[in-house]
Amino acid sequence: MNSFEEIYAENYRTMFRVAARMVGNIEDVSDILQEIFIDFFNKTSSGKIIQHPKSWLYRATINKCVDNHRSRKPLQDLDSANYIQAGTELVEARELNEIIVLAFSKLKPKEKLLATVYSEGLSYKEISEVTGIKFSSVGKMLSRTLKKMEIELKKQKYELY
Amino acid sequence: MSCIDDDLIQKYVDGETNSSEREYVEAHLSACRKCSEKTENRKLLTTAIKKSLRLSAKEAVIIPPFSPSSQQTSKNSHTLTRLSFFIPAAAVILFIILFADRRKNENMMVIEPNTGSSVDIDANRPVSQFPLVLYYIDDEGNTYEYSVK
Repeated sequence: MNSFEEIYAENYRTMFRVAARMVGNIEDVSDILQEIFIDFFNKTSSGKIIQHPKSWLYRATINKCVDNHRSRKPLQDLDSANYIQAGTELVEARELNEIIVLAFSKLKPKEKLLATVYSEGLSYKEISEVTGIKFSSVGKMLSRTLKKMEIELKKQKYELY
Repeated sequence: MSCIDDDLIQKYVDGETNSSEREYVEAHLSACRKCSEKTENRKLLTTAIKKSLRLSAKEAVIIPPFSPSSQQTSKNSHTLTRLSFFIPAAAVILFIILFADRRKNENMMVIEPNTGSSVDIDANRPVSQFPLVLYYIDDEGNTYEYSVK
């Protein structure tokens, strides 16, 4: 079993990306992550064994983000989640990135969550575990979510292919 | 052969089909140009979406140091937050208690049976027939005595 420091270093960035896409406000994201890792630290140091730390952290992050989302009205526009600077990327690639983030911002909260964990490379089984979506429904929901994003991309007249 | 639906294409693209589904999809794709194109497009779309959403700058996210002491800091700050609510509330309550007490003392009226030696008390009489004397102490501390016969 990995030490706390290893788990922290391995998962911080992933959880940061997930929370940033769901919450949008980077200061809130840092606070959320601090709370989650303190909670994780307290649990593990009090002797509780967490079998799947990554899944636990995903669930904790998602739950905290949903709580944060509920406590903030009106909801912030998730366009601000586009804090990423493409840097040396080609202009076309940056445009595509912006359009995809725009399409993402138009999704419903549950679809956003799905697209977020999907983009992190989770399997359908893992997606089901961390989001609570029925395993048999993951493929169908994902297909519809990506279709929605595709329609938005086409609206923006972006020719992906 | 009827065309395969989008959900199955998505599962195939994500490598989530079981062996029989995969065989079925591959057999169909080799025979159906439309579905084959659709599958390729879906692969491109999912790759682009994953890449864009993940583009989140592995470099840009700085991992802050975590030490158990930060846990203590957090607890302390929670305590301070609670105290900051508690202290003004306690001050208001204390003020009310003190103020109310003072008001009570300012205009005090004492009602007591006159048991002074100048009045004879017959202990066998009912209490309602005892002589009563009222003492009234005003704001300036003057005492007025009223006897109720």
